[in-house]
Amino acid sequence: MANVISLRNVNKVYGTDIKTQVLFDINLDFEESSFNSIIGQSGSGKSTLLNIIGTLDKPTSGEVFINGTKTTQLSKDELAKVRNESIGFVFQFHYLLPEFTAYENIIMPYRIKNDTIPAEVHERAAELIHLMGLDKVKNNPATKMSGGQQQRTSIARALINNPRIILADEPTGNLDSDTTEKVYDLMRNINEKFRTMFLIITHDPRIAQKTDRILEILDGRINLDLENKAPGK
Amino acid sequence: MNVDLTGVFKEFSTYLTDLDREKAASFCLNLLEQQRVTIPELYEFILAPSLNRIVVPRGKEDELIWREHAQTNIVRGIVERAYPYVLQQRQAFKSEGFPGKIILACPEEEYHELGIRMGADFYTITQFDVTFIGSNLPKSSIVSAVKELKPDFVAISVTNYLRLVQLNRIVESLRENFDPQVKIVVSGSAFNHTGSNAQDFGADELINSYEDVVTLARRSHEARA
Ligand SMILES: Nc1ncnc2c1ncn2[C@@H]1O[C@H](COP(=O)(O)OP(=O)(O)O)[C@@H](O)[C@H]1O
Ligand SMILES: [Mg+2]
Repeated sequence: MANVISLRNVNKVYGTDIKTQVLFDINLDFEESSFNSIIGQSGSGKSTLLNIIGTLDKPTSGEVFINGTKTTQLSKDELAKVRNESIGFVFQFHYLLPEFTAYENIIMPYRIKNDTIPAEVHERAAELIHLMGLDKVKNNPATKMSGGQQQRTSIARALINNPRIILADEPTGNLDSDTTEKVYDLMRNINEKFRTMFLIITHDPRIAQKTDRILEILDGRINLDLENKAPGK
Repeated sequence: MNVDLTGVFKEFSTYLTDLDREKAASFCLNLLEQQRVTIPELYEFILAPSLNRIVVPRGKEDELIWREHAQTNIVRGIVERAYPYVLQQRQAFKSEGFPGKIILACPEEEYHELGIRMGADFYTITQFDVTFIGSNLPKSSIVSAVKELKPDFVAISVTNYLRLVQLNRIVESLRENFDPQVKIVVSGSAFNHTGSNAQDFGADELINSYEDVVTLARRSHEARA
């Protein structure tokens, strides 16, 4: 299967005077439609890695390939285009715009790039809203939704441009266990329905153990890379 | 074996599916009593496969988890009641000598202990001195047990592949404290599911079957002799 993300010899050093290396020579490949998690102690470099994969941050050395494109050579605009078309982000804090409704937040990534919203985008938004179980609250302002509803809205928002890749940094970090299960199920449904590749940073063993591949980061290095090939998970 | 295992497995499976604890148990205990199956045959060809058959598809967890637990409980009951036959079958290995002392454990947050509980009986049959210290054990507790009981082997079982993450640290800690006196063996479905082996975690040996236990016991006698 094709790789949607490849990292080659990625290093990351923070600081100019006092240098701290937080990632060491990372080599990784992620296949399309795979469902992966990253675990590891706080401060081990998980978010740095995810941000580099998502081209939100640049490696100090090494290469990042998205859908085969070497991103380190791209101009800022080209990079933004690749990112917008290929990657959706979900964060622990969902960063919804409070003055907008759930529906408006979901189509926001499209609206930023385009003046008019075609019917098919509205249709996709409606489909995502339905999949996420948000029909009843779609016209509520973001502030008038529960934590779980807000997080599901942010997942729908990440999906509106139909990206092949979703990168999630502790998406359930803020949620109770029932809501965590629900958000997990939704991510899995999306993965199966749209063949979206997921890479999820998580502290939650209930999420990690249900993903198909677990990467453990320890002090900026890949300590373990385990793929679960059991049928019927 | 003196029995058609496929047929026996099918019959047992219907009792288990019906959650008929008494029929399931008496069926297995009769097979043992009449010497139609050995303990390893019972565990490997009847009990373990009947449990592995319960695949819980995503979204159906609520309906099926209680069923899995009920069936696991029935099987655990049978394993406990089989102990007299374990001791009986142990006699056959008496002449082979003593392979050593072994401690069996599952790491923290690993609750599936029935596999290694069956394994405990395989080690008992092959004349090991066996202590099963249980599931969900913190690393420090495993280390403390090894200090106190001074075994020749520690066996760690992992079914949930996330728990392989702890295995590295457990092995490291055992090596630091007890190398080279204590050999580390590993077992459990997590290894098959991830295609990994003992060396991936710094352990000595992956045990997949009763045959592997017999081999381990024989090799251990030779090393001792
Ligand atoms: N912008 C930054 N400047 C300097 N150091 C940073 C920066 N971001 C993160 N770090 C440091 O890099 C290390 C890894 O951080 P991070 O990737 O956020 O870890 P994790 O997500 O695993 O908790 C930490 O020691 C952190 O303090
Ligand atoms: Mg982080």
